[in-house]
Amino acid sequence: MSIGKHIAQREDQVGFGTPSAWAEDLSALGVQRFCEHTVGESIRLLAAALRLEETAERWNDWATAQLARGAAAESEYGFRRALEIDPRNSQAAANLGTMLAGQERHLEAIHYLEIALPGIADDQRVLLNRVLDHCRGRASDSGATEPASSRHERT
Amino acid sequence: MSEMPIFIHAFWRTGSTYLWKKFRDRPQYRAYYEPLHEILIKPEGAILAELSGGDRAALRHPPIDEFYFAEFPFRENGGVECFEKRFSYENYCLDEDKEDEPLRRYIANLIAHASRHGQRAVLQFNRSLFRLGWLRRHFPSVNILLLRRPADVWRSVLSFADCSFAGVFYILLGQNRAKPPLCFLPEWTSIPCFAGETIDRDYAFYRPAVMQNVGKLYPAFFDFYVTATIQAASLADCILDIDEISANPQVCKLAEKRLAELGAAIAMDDCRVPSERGVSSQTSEWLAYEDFARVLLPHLLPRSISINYEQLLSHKAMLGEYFWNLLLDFTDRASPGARRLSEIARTAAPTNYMEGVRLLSAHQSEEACHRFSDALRGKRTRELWRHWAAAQSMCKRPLLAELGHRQAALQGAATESLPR
Repeated sequence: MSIGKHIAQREDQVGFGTPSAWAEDLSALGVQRFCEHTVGESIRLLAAALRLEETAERWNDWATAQLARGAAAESEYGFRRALEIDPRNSQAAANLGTMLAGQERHLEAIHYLEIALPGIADDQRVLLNRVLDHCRGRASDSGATEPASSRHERT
Repeated sequence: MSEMPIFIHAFWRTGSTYLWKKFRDRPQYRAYYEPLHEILIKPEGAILAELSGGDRAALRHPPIDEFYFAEFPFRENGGVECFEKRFSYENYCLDEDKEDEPLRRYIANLIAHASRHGQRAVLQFNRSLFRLGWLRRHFPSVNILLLRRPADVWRSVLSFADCSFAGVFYILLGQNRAKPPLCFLPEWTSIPCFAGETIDRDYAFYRPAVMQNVGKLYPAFFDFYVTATIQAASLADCILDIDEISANPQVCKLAEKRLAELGAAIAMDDCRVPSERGVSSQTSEWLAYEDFARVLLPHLLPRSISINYEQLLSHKAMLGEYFWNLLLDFTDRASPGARRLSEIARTAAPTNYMEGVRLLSAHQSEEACHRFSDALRGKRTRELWRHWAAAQSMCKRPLLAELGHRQAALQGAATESLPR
């Protein structure tokens, strides 16, 4: 089904809508396209939604899609923007932390993984703890110390 | 609304003659064919001689009873009243706020001429896409934008061995290259600006360059068509996607309904526009360019070239997926979110460039193309264009490789080397 027609159907149900509702629709479709592995289309839809209305969740989704197409730089800035809007957004912090761990930026990763852990869903906690342990091990091997901010964040 | 003139805005080879004929066949309308056509400077007899019966078939137009320009008020000593040569191409980019009294008088005369015959004027333009705002400001009117997929348009343009359509597009670009919004587009091919005393001198001047470059013009055409489409779509009362009308009876019905609401009731159930779905190596390179341009153009064009989402939504039911997606890339370009996305593209450019170089060394050329394209959104330097061209070459896209090297050369040695 085309995007236009999908949105048309939704509108028939909910009326002409507001910019927030349109952005919500575009985001939902963007996520759907991502799940269907049409990443380029997903990014376009999420970008259109962001132009209508910025939210932390939307930036997080856009950054996740960017990561899937190998655009690590865009992805990092997207996750950071999500955290600017909502510094306690656990999913964006977890995604950014995991991405930084993959780039062997262990100290930065530790900082974000620690922000993420308290609010993250149970099914992700085990994996995040494993990544966090790995980062701590690598950071201590290299003799680096944790940033004060991350010690402060720990609960 | 029913008294207002109807303006149809379309590029060549988009089904505009079909649409024009629909209005011509109804006596309540006086449907003018291409009112800015350069031929209108000539006497009626000379036009008749030029447009012999064979031309209609060659143009693949629907059958017509009378010659194309029968509705116009011709002067006894030749040419249509008030028409000037410069209207066709020299003034193609006309800002909404600019004054052009001779052009205003010419259009007003056509509308009045229809009125004198007790008819409603329909002006089917093929040279108005960057003048829609100006026309709307000067004439309360119903504005219909007719669209067709650009690759199909260009394939049709190239099917004329005499390069007639490519030639007039070349003139259009040459005479308007330095004007906004065309001045913001990449200069994919060098086109001099020349405007002679007669259109025949313009044809003669541009012809050698057209014949030499016709195979390389798709990127310039696509950029032009996209920019024109966004600007015109943001001002149109109705957008007709001819591919969708032709293929989808439901959309055809919606289009007829919308036109009826605008006081322009016609039936389009016999609309059949050919569309090639096979992908040749040439088409595949065109489509690769489209993907690249849709990434790059939002970062080159001024933010005023934008369509707001609400407006786009109002046309959605009549748009096929191609034009919906295309226009969606250019929605709300002045919003804070749009500015943030541009800022991210700029900041990410150095990393994308370095990643592209790494991928190119690892022979992952398609991935490298993506990274270099991403980097070009943020900054356009000589080195970046050279690497983009190298990656295109590895992907067996010789036209894009050549265009990339040209851009690198245009950047010149003085340009700072790399985004860091």
